Amino acid sequence: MALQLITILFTITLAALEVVTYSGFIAKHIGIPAIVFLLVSLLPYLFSFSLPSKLHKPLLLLSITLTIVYSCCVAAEFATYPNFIFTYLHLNLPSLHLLIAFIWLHYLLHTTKLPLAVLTAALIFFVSESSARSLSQVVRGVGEIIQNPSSSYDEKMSATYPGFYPAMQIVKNLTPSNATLVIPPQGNPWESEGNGAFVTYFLYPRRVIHWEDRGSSSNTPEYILIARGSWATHGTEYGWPKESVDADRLWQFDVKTGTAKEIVKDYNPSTDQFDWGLIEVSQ
Amino acid sequence: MISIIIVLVISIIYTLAGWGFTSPYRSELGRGERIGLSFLLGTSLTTLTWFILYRLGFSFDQTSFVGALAIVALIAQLVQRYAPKTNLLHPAPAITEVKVGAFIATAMLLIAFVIAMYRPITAWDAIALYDFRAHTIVLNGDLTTIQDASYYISYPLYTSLLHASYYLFGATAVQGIYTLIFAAFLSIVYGRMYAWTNAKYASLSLLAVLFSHELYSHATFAYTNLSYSVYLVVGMLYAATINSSKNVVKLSILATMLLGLSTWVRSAEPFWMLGALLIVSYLIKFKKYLYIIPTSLIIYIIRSIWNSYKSERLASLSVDNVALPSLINLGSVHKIISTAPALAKYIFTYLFLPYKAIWIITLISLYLAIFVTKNYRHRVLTILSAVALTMGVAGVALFSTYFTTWDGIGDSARRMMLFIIPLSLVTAIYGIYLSKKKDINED
Repeated sequence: MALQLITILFTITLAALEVVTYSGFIAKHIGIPAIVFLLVSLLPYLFSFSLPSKLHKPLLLLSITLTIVYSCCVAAEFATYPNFIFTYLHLNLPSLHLLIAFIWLHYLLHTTKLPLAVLTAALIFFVSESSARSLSQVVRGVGEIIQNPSSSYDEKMSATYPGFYPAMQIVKNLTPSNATLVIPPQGNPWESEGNGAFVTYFLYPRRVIHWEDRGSSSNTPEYILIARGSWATHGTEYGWPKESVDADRLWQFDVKTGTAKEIVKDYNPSTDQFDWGLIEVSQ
Repeated sequence: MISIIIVLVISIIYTLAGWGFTSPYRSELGRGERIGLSFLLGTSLTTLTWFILYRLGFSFDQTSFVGALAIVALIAQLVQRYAPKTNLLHPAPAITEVKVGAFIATAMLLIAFVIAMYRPITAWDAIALYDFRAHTIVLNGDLTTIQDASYYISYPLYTSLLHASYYLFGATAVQGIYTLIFAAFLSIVYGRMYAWTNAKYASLSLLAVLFSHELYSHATFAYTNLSYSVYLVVGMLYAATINSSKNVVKLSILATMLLGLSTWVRSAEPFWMLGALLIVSYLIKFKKYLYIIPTSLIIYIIRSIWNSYKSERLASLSVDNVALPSLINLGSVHKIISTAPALAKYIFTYLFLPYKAIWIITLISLYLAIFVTKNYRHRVLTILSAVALTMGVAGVALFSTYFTTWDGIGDSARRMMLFIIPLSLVTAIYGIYLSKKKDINED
């Protein structure tokens, strides 16, 4: 009995070390993953072991407390950024999650048979994380509404797609509804402004095409979007279009104020490197 | 505020339109479940009828929408008047009797509705596809803008027509309808679980599904995955409700209708077949052979309404309409073997890791169903979950043989399997109930 209890305590404590270090800590130092120790902690039950009854209540309390702590941590992390908890509290949440599931399992094995205990622990494992995320989503959503209860559609869209959305609004104001707009190729750094279907949503009924789809002659006014690349993370691909264009005029956008500065000249990619702008192509 | 009122009023009208269809089942459904089911049937059948009217030459406008509503309501009235009614199962108590669960569910859904209505539509596919189609339908009254691009006809029009129906009457924000669809689903989960277990386990199921983060977040934005999951799982739940020769025909019709309507939301996924096979197995089990073809026809007809249009358009655009079964051949097997490491990594990352708890829950449920509970319904639900997971894996493998960009959007594979969450949660909780009941009986 004592040996079995020591086995459980030893294996659980060993696995718990990963909670305050990092995933893979036990495997690195002992050569066996923590999950194996957690599984070994269940072995005594195969030999008719049952926890002393005076431990049941504390174990239940521990399980509930740890689940609440874990849920709060998940909610905090979901509301901030990944690894927020690890950064500030140095708690490794995936390991804590697994540990809690096994502590529940030890408690449940006292009240029910193994398959049912595993199923219940798996459900708690799922619901504890999921509900914390849902609740933090509620907090975030309600916070958003309380902070800006009377935000307009444009303000909300600009907050979601800064740069891109105001630029689309300026394009809409500058171009006639029968215009054709040439957009950058789809792909980083033009994931948004290079996606035809995505851009069309904001500019319909204007026709949105890619460079390679330009016809030799067109009866409708043609415009080309100047886009530095709103998804850019490194410099090499910045700026589009990369070729000179004969233009009636250009506009340089100021997406913060929603205004555009008109410049009457042809487009030169080496000098006209705007974050956002528009070329009115010479017909 | 006006949008909220319009969304609520039109949703009530949708519910009233679908109400008659639930009449043959009224003795089996609690009030909440019946409202939820009526809403689901009302929205899907009305939008489908609206699309049929368009195909017959009407344009998409307020008049044709009201016409579609009137047709659905009329058929529903005929069903209400002439369909036989029987008292087969005890109805669920009003949700208000389960006070804590009802309070939490109401509060969470109310908040989700407010968040969904406050936020504009910003999710990528909703902007590029679903809501864009809705706006062009409202502006032009037809599908001319979208019919010449295969991308725009890659999914059926259910959510787009749903958005359009609210926009036509002046709403500018419509995302709250996804919360209403989720609420309808929860009411059915509660009702079914109450019919199979008791108020405690029904509340537990309701809360487990409600607090599932993936589902809850989908209730606040305009993707098709939640609606698809709802129709599919609800169809499966009603199919699994069949338990005697008295209710097999009636519930088969309802279940096949819902499974068919799931293909009106997303037509490419093959999971409806699981439910259809289940229904056929029940019809065989209860020796109702004559009903196999009519019930199968229900799914076929609903699927055909969209698929025939899509095939027609793709043919005119000279685009191949690739059906999943056509990919099942030896060549695909060779391709799958050659990409096995990348496939395994993809499946592990996008189908296993996000659903790791669900996989574990399903595996243990399978064990419980086979060796412990030995209950037919539990086995059926568990097998549905397990086969669906397997089909998801196989589907991704087949998909990879045809589409060169198969590994480009991992998130879509995860969303495709969204329905597995409520299905396996309900199955697991049902399994726990049966196991405990068995333990008590043995004691």
